Amino acid sequence: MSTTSQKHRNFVAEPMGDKPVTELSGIGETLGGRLCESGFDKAYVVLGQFLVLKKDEELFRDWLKETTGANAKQQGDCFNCLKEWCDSFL
Amino acid sequence: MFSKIQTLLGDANMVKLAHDKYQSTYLMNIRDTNQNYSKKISQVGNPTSHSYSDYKTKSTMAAVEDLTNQELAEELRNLGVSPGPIIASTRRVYEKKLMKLRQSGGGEPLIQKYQPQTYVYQVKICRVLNRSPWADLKRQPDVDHRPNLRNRLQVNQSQQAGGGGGIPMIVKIFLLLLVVFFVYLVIVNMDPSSESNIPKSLPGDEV
Repeated sequence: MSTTSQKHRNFVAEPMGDKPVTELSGIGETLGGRLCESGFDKAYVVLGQFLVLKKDEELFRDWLKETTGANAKQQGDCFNCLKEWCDSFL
Repeated sequence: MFSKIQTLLGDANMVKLAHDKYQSTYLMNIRDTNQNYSKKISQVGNPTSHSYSDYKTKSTMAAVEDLTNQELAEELRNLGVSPGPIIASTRRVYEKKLMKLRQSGGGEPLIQKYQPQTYVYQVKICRVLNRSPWADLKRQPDVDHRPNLRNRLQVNQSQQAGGGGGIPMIVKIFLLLLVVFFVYLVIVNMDPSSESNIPKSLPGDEV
């Protein structure tokens, strides 16, 4: 059985549409607020950044840390969430 | 009395303002000096990677902030990375990546992640070889068109730089032989016919 959270499972179960950035696994109110300040107000914008970084884990985690101050767990959760979403829908 | 306190407070405020202004200019100078210093450091490059400095072009010695997007992408490609589009939102992470790669002597840590088995074995072999007198011959600073080989050599350098306190192979082999010897003793003594090996009493003892 995987060790993903309910939030992760909810996100990767369907196309993200217009979901807000706080629906991403690992992104709560605080980090979501910081992302919105930087212009990343929807999950698909963060997806855009993820894709522009060519789905590279190290670069994406680095970017997330730079932009929001996310810790290692949050970085990992967000990366895995987007990666799995891409595997299913992209 | 009260007015005296007021003037004192007023003076204190002025002193504080002056102190703040001094502090901010002082800190700004410090920051500028640090920025210039760090720029210089990145310009000079990592001293341990001097063997590759011969064929480094002029652009590689520039600070990462001064490179254009194309030049930054070129630098990253030279170090084995395949960068995506370098735009406003991605530029910062690519700059950091380039600085990290330069500091580690042009190593490629990602290869380690993707090919753990064979790569670690090759690193070990190369590390053993690099400690030999043939190290200088082996570490050729040629710009060949085999990025994998070059990257492996580059990471070996960084590996070597970081792993100078490791146990040498010969000591490991010696310890292994010691352990094998003890195991042999145990097995020999466990053998049923080995009672003859164990004396019932020591020759010197008389009950």
